[in-house]
Amino acid sequence: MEPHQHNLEFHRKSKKVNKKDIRIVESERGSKTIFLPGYLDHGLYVPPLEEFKNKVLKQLKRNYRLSNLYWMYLRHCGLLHPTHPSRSIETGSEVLGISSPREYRCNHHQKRAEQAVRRMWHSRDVEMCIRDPTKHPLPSIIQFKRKFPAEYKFIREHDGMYDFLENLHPGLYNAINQRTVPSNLHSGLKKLGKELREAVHSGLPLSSTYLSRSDDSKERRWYRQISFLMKNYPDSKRRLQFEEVVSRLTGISQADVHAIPVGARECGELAEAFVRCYLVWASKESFDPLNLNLNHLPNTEERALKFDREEIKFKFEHNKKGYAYADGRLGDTALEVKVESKKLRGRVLEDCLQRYGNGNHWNDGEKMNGAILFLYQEPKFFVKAISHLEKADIRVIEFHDFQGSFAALMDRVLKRNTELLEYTEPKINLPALLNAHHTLSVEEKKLNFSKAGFRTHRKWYLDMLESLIYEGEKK
Amino acid sequence: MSLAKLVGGRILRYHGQKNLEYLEVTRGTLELEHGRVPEHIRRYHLSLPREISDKEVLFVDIETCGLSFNAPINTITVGKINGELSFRTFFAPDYFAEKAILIACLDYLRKADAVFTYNGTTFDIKRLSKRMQLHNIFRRTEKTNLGEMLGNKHYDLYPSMVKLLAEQNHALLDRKLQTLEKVLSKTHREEDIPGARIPEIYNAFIQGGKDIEERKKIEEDMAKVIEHNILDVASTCAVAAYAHENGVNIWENLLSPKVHISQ
Repeated sequence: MEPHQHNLEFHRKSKKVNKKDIRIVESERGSKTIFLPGYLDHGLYVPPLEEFKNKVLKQLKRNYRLSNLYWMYLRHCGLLHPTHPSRSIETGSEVLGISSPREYRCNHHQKRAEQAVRRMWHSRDVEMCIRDPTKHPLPSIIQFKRKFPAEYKFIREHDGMYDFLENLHPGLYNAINQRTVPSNLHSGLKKLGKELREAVHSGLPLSSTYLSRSDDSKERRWYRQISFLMKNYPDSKRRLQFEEVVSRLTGISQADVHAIPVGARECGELAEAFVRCYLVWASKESFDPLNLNLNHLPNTEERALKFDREEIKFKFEHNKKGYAYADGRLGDTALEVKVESKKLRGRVLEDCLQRYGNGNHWNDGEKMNGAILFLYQEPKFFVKAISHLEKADIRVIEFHDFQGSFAALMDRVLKRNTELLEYTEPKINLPALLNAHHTLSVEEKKLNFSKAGFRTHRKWYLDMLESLIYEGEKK
Repeated sequence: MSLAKLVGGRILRYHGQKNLEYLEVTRGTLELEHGRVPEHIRRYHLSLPREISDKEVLFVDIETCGLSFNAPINTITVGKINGELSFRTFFAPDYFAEKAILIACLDYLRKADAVFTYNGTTFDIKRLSKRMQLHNIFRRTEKTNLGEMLGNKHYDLYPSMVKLLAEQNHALLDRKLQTLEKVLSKTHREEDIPGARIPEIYNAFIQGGKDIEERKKIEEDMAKVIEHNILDVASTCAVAAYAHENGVNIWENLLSPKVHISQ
């Protein structure tokens, strides 16, 4: 066997060697040279043990690590073990009578980590926090990580944060992670949830970007409250996402928090399309079950029904812009369609009266001649407002009246215009349209209808109505 | 509706409601022109365990208006072992009728003792459940998740087939139902509509077409979609037969003493 083959064998195989094979030559200074059969003819050098031990300890104390040369010597020391010689660090340390450098380093880091934890969370502070977490909150683990990154890494890699902290101070981990919730928060959550739910169903996008940049102080307040709750939501052990907080407060799933406002806006478009479809066909057919005086308009010769953006704009001094838009215009009468499930009182009612009950002027200079308000709501939402609206010359068309009139009109239209409507795209399904119309005004059904799962349905209904409007206007 | 004539179906009204109409097509295995699939199914009948013969065993497949999780369902076919295998397809002529076909399907599923699907865990049953929840058609006393409601009664053939084919070292391009059908039942569908085209055809059907010719063409395509769905269910049944013949215990859950089988 060639010598280099022995070397390979020695490296590859076990570090243990047979005691009988070892030949030790000691010098006058006390250093030793160890000879192993077939391995390095000049032998392995080991410095005098006492001297080497002192040097190793000195180096470990200074920078908690050993030089490569010392590592090698320490390994050689292992071969001097009286019972089981082995060329390893552990046996070498045993021969020298010191703990292994790895252990030494680990102990050192352990001590440093303990010191860091005590500096971060003083036992007096911890006790105070356990007694009253609201008044004496402790710094978080994240803060510890930023201040002592090496110690944090050591703890994570060894015991883990929970065990390490609990060993040092029982109850510390829970005290750190205890959420500090103000006592009056719980009562406010219900109210905030109700407000947000109403907002979602009225089509308001409850995203952090929209709320934080909103002009409305109420919406900015919501943003602040939700942001606070992200860190302090009761009974939550972790930090929540913005959408998660909204979802928990409103009881609406996270996906629907985004989808419902879109759906609610589409429901609004659908309701406007129903009204427009009715008006277009009622004037064409001269059949108006709602008695909206479509045939006695001052300007029937011209186009009396107006829905273009510029035509429905009117001057309005009660907002920052100085103008506002109606949903339509019948001669000089404003048309407004209300779909959201919000009670018509307080600010909402006031806004409605200011818009349509004040004799505002249209953008083309004509004076607004009252208004017609189409309400896709259950009576409980508007019954108390009717007297106020009528005083202000605003006519209210309730949903039930509109449903019956629309059904009668469309039935007549479809019977009398079979040829015209035979090839509309999509095909007209009157029962489906009437069902959709009904859905829009029943709160519970509308909330369900606003979900993303009905997007295709909503688009289909809108397409049908637009097709009907197109045919009506073309006729 | 000329589609009804084309596929030999009848228009039904959900609980007699004038507004909610859907199309129902009924077929037997004798009317199937589907390679060796009917033969497989007949053999399967002969080898059914005795305990199963009087149970309500269904095979279900659906067609949707797209891959999006929010896309509506337009066609549902339920294959039912009742002496002979018979198929019942519920087709929604527009989006409004979706609720009606879901109710019709749920009525069947409620009575079922076993429901077989091919990849139903991740697709058919999941979609059905989601749409049923949206339309709010579960009873108050029922679970509002179809998967949970069916529980052990539902058996998805897909995982068993993947395992079986791997054991048998079948060199298949994929594990799609139509690939299996080609290899196992040695059949090929002629004039079949690819699944990817179904949403487009259904959308065209809803739109209606500009003239008589176009409408006729669309209705023919739609009829093919219904046939496609029926053949899918027949193939699911044939796949179950193959799995059963090759030692897969597909009745495991149904015959398990833990499961209560309603009579």
